[in-house]
This record gives sequence, structure tokens and C-alpha cells, in this order.
Amino acid sequence: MTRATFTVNGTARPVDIPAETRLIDLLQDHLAMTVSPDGCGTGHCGGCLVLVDDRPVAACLSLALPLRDARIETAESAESVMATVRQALADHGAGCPACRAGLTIAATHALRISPWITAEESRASLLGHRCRCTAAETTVAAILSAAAALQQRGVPA
Amino acid sequence: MSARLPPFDLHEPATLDQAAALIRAGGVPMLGGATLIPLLAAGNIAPASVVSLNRIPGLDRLYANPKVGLRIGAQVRAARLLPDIWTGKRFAAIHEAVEQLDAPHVGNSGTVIGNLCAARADYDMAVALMALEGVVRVHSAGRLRDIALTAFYPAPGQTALATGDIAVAVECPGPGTDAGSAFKKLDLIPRHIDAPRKISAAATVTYGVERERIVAATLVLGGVALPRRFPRAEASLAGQLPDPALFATAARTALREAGLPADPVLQAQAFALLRDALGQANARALARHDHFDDVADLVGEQP
Repeated sequence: MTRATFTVNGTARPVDIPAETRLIDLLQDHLAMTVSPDGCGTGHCGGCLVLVDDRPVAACLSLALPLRDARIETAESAESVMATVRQALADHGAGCPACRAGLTIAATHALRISPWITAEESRASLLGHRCRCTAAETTVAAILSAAAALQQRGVPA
Repeated sequence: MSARLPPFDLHEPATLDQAAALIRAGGVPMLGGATLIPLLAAGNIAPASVVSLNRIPGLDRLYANPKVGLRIGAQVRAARLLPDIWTGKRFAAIHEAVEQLDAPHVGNSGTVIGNLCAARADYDMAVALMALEGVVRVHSAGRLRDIALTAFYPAPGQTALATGDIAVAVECPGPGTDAGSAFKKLDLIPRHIDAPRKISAAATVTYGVERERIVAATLVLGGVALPRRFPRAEASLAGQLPDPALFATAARTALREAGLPADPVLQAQAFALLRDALGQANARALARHDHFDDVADLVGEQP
């Protein structure tokens, strides 16, 4: 067991974990986060995406301990862009329960780069996702509505 | 749900010598983990220790300059190449290989060196970097030595690295003034074959100072097998005037050298990728121009 402190959603979380703990295991088993399902285990489905230092990373592909100095954000984050995206996806019924967390992360990453996003850029932000339960266009519509809300609120471009 | 990983010790050495000693003692090196962690999760390997190379200083540099070359340190995550302007403009083949990573977010954790050292036929970076005449810089018994990518894969699934050797960077020479490169791939799960099929091709085309004849070209095919170059096809391009028929002939020559299975669909796909990679590399080489040409275009004259 190794004692380490992780910064998750802006909060320092000290934990004792074994070396073989992946980032996804840390979030699920040790920090009781429920929004990162373990899908394919190879990084291809996009279900377990989290932001590590503002970049989308598959939590099933990273060991946790080397990330103890990083800023980790999950789809549960209260930050305003993430919250807006989460609400928009829920309102549109976009993404199945297994994939919605990953879609939230991908959309948040795209909208933080710029809320003045086009439909094509929204589709591009979903390239790493395998969710086929709901139509991809529903997710694109949700991202565009989140973008409109952010633009209205005056989030800097 | 994929399995938890089997237990192991994690070492995070601060120097290459410490890392090499730990690897010689049986540790498995790890950079981003994009290849290693799925292997551990699937139970394909169960090492007693994993050696993270992410705390060793000096391995995180990315440097691209058209006059000097491209240098990608071992810790550089593949996606870091994407916003780099010189990588995109003058080392386009590797830029395209990273752009087309499936899934794109894998490039945020996976490294270029990790991709090369995995020695997997279905990985793309070696195809692009072999066309760019890449050389792997290796820390070996306290010294640095270089291994050309063309000599890096002695057998399927193997690299030329000895136990304890650590690939610290991959370097490509600067392209000629009028040179272009391209990378193409097909990533398919066709209905009529059982296994997913991936084919990738990369090429470079270099012109001489008069910008009329091709002076050198490289051509690489990967995906179906570990990447390799095709000396006869490359030689057939040197000294020639560019022409779509020339690229098609070179692609056919390369196919004969490749000795792929006699599947007509596979052959046709590989042919198209080789031909198109050459064609696009050529278009990029010809699109290179200097300021003098800009001025000539503005006044409606050709030099």
C-alpha cells in the first residue's frame, strides 16, 4: 500500500492504494465515484474518460500513482462548463448511462477550448466514443445547446 | 467489466541507470501505459514489478525544426505532436498517424516511443517514422546508441532492444527543402473476414534544387505486418518526373516486394494506400515554395 494524495474535482483526497491501482480503480473503489464505468478496458470505448490536467484520458489506461501530482476531474465535477454539459445531455436524453460520463468529459473538453463550437466540431469531439445506444446526433444537439447556454452566459471564448 | 490488474511493485526511478538496473532485474518498463495496462488487465503478462520511466528528467522534450529534424522524447504523449506547427508542416506523416489514432484520446496517455517499442504490427507510429527515416536513440549500459527503425524489428513482436536498454527518443532528419510526406491507413472490420484488418502506408518524396525530378523517395507498408521499406520501389522513383502512373508502378513494385497473402481485396487496398501515400507526399513536396514564388504569383509571372 502506498499513501498518496490525489486532487480530484478540486479536492485533495488522501488514500492508501496498492501499486497496481489504475485511475479507474482509484475513482470507483477508493473514492466512491460512480460516473466512470469500466467498459472495454483498452481505452477504445471512451466510457471511462476523465480529465487529467485538462486533457481527456481513458481512466482504464493509466496507473493512478504516477498521477498523484495531476489535476483530475470526473464528470461529477461541479465546475460550471461541466455542469452545463451534464444538464444538457440529461435534458436531451443523450448517451446511455454507461457512456454519458465519458461523453460529458469529451464535450466539456471541446467547450472549454471554445464555446463557439460548430456541429462538425461537436461530432469530432465524439470520435473516441463507441456509444451506439442513442443517436450521435442527439449528443451533438445536446452539446450545441450547452454551447448556446455558455455563450449566453458570456463564458470567455 | 475488465479485470483489476494483478499485484506488482511500482518503481519510479529518477535516473536512466536506476531504471536500467530495475529492468534488468525483471521489471517491465512503462511510459503512458496505453499498451501495458490492457496486457496486465488481460493477464497476458504478470511481472513482479513495473518501472515507470515518467520521473526521469530530460525525456519529455519535443523538438521539431525543418532544418534540424524532429526529436520526440520517450515521455512525450502522442497528442503533443498535434499542435506543433513544424511537425504538421514538415513531418506530416507522423502528424497524420497521430491525428488518426483510434480513439483520439489514447494519444493523451500513450507515447510515441511506447507505440514503437510495443512492436505491434497494428500500431501506426513506426510506419510513419520509418518513412521519415527515424532512428531510435537508446540508453544502453550507460551509453547512448542509435538504432535505425529499419533495423528495430528483427522479428515479429520483438525489438532490437536488449534487456535493460531504454529507448529515450526517436529522431528523424530534417526533410529536404522541397520534400513532402504522407501517411494513410485503412482500419476495417469487413464482413467477409474474421479478424479486424488494418493496413497503413507512409511515403516521402524529395525533389532536387531545380524542383523538377524526384531525387529520393521512401515507401513503407505496415498494419498487416511489422512495417518495412521497399528499396526497389523507392529506387524506381529516383531521377523520375512525377506522374500518377509512376506512383502506381512504384506501388505495384512495393506490393511484389511485400509478399502479402494472395487475397485480392487486401492487395487492392494495400496498393491504393501505397499509391495514394506517394501521391500525397508528392503533392506536398511540390506545394513547398519559397518567398520568391509568392512574389512571382502576385505579379502573374512564373520564375
